[in-house]
Amino acid sequence: MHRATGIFLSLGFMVFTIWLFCLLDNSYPKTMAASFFSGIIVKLLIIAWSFSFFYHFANGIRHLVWDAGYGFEKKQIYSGGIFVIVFSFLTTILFLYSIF
Amino acid sequence: MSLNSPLSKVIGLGSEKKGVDHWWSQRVTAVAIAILGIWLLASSAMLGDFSYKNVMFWFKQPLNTFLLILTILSVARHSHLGVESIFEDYIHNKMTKTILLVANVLLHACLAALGVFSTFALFIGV
Repeated sequence: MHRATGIFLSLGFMVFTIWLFCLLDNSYPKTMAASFFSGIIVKLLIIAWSFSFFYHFANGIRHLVWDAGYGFEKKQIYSGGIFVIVFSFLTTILFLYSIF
Repeated sequence: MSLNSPLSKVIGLGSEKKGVDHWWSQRVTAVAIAILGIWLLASSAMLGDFSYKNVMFWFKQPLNTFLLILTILSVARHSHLGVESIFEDYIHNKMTKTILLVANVLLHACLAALGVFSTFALFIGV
């Protein structure tokens, strides 16, 4: 799941840089860049990318904690997993609520 | 001192000795993105709406330009390393793997250049 969201976020990064380049075109309001946020497919993609980001963020911190040598008790592994899922859902909802 | 026999050295067996660099680079960029990513999302959430005027105003702020360029470079490196690990782990055909690994380097170099160029060009208003 960490790798799957990672690959998906890499694609998001690719789209983001292309979007930045498209902004340089002065006809922005008429091009793909303007309708970028209004189309249903892009909205769904933004929802998916937001969730992927927050999931990868929270789970990444979990990995960093493991790298530091902590959190290997069975109980901590489970509670960490639940924390990641709850955190990523809550932050995604909060973020989407503030941009849409 | 290497414990590899001369033959295994020639055949290219043993560690490539680049694992530590890869590992550290991935972690350092992870921490950078954790901070910069939250800044970027918070900053875009405070934008209100993504109208042309709002977006262009955002790009005219020097601090935004600077932090966005840092973000792009960190993400490009982190994404490059992550995708590299996935190709190394899941692609077993040597030829396909080599082609994908080279393509991965080139693609991420292009994305980093494209992102940094566009951000800077938006700032100075080309």
